[in-house]
Amino acid sequence: MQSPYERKRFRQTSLFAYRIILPSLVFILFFIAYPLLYSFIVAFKEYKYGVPTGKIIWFQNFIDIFTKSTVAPGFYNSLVVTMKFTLVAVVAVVVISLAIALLINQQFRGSGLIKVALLLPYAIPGAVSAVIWAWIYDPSFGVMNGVLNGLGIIDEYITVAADPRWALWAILFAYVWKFVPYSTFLFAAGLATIPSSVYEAARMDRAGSIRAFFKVTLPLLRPVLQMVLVIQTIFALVMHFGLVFVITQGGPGDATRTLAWLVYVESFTFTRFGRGAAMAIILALIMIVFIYLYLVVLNPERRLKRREAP
Amino acid sequence: MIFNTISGRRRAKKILVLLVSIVVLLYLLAPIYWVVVSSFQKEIALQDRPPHYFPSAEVFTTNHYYFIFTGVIPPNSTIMLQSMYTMRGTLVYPAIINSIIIASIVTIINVVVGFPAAHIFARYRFFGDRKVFLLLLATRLLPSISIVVAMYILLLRLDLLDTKLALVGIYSAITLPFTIWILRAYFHNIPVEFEEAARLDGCRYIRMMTKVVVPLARPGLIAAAIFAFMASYGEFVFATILTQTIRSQTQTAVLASLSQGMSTSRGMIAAAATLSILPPLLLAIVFRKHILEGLTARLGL
Repeated sequence: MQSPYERKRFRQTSLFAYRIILPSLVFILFFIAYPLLYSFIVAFKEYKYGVPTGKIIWFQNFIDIFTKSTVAPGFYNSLVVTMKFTLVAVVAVVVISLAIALLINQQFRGSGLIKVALLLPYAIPGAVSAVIWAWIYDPSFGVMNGVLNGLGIIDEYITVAADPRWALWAILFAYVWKFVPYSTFLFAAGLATIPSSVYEAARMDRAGSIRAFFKVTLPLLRPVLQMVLVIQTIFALVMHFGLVFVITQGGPGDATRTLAWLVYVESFTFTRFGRGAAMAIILALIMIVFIYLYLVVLNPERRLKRREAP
Repeated sequence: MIFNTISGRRRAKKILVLLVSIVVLLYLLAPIYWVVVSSFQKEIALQDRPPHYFPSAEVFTTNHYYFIFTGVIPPNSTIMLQSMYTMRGTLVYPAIINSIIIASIVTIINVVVGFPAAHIFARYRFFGDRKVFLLLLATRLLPSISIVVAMYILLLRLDLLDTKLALVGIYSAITLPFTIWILRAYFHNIPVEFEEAARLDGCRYIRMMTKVVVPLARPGLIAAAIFAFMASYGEFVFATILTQTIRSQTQTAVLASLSQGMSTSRGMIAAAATLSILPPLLLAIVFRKHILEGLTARLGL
C-alpha cells in the first residue's frame, strides 16, 4: 500500500510528465487518431460523385465490397495480388538481406564500402526510386533492355512494366532494392552480438559452416528475425504504393492492382470515398492480423510471460 | 583440386566473398549511377542501342539541368526536344525547396517536442505511461493509405488542402512516435546518475535538459533528427494526394507526376530525380555513423 505522500508524489510526477508529452500527443491525436476514427464515419456513409448524400448506410459499403458483383471480383483479385506480393517480397527481402548481413559480418576490407552503399537506396525516397526504376525498365530506352540484349538473353527490347506476366515482378525487384538495406542493418547488428566463442564451440564439434548457420546463428538471431518479419510485412502490404503509382498504375489490366492501390483508385479516381475508406479499414485489419500472428503465435515465450504477469 | 587444401579453401572463400561483394555493390549502386549518367546525356543519345554506359564527350550535355533551373529551352535543341520539355519540369526546383522547408520544420518539431517526451518515457513512471507508449507504437504501424481518405475529406472541410501546414502537421504526427521510440531506447543506455547529480545541484528541469541531457544524448538526437528529416522529405502518399499546386507540392509529388508524361524528356526526368535524391544522399553519407547507430539502437542491443 502506498503512503499518502507517495501517492501525492506520483500525482505530481504524472501532471509534470503529461505537461511535457502533451504536444506530441496533440499531434498524434489530431493527425492520426482523429482521421482514423473519422474514416469509420466515412466508411458508414453513402457517397455519390464525391459528395455525401447524407445517408448513413452502416455496413453496406463493407457488404458491397465482399458481395456486389461489380466490386467483389476486383477486390478479391487485389487481395490475391497483395498476398502474392507480400509473401514474395518478405521472403526475398529476408533472404537477401540476411545473406548480405552475413557477408558484411566477415569483416573483410571493403565491407565498410558495402555498408555505405547500402545507405544509398535506404536514403532515396521511395517515389524517386520508383522513377529511377521506371526509367531502367523503359521499353524503348531502358538500360535493363540494353544490358539483357548485350548479354544475349533477349533479342528484342521488352516491355516489362506493361506485360501482365512481368509487371508485378518489376515492382517487386524495385521494392527489394529499396528495402533490403534496412533489414540488412538490423541483421548485421544482430549478428554482431553473437560472440565468436559460440562459433568456435561449433567448430570444435566439427559442425560445418552450413550446419553452424542453422544450428547456431539462426536460433540466436530469432529476435531480430522476428522483428524484421513484422516490419517487412507491414512495409510490403503498403509501401509498394509509390512504385505502383509511378511504374504500372495498377496495370496492365489488374496485374498490379494491390489493395493499397485499389483504395486510392476507389477514393480518388472514382471518388467513392465511402467504399475507399471501407477498403482502407480492411487493409489496416489485415495488417493487425499479421502483426498478431507474428508476435503472439510465433512466440510461445511471450504468451507464457503474459499469463504469468498478473 | 586446390580446394582440398586448407590454404586453397581459404583462397576460394576469399574469391567467393569478393565476387559476391561485387554483385551486391553493382546491384545497389548501378541504378543510381545510371540515373545520374542519363541526366547528363543528350536526349537522342539516350535512345542509342546499346546504351552509353560510360558516356563520351559527344553525348554529354547539361541542357536538362539548365532547363529545370531556368525554364529556358536551350536554343540549339530540335523542335522535337522543345516539345518534350514540359514546363512542369521547372517545378522540380521549387518542389525540392518545399520539401526541404517542410522536412526542416518537422525535424525542429521532433527535436523540441519529441526529445523531451522520449526523456519522460525513459525516466519517469507516471499514470498510464505504458498505455500511452503503446498507443504511440500502435500509430507507427498504421498504414498511411488507411487514413488518407478521411484526411482528405477533413482537410477539404477545413480548407487546408494544398497547404504546407497540413503536411507539416501530418508528418510531425507520423515521425514523432518513431523519434520517441528510438530516443527512449537511447536514454536507457545513458546512466541516470548525471541527471540526478544535476538535480541535487539544484538544476531546474529546462536547465538540466539543455546542460546535461542534450549533450549526453547528442548522437541519438542527431540520428532521430536525420530520420525525421528523411521520412518527411521522401513521404509520398500524403504528398501526392493532399497537394495540388506548387504552393505545397513536394518533390516526390512533382517527380511522380512528371514521370507520368509519356512524351516528357527522359533526360529531364533523370536530371530531376538526380537533383531530388541529392539532399538525402548527402545527409546519409555525412551522418552515416549516426544513422547506423540509430537504426540498431532500437534493437536494444
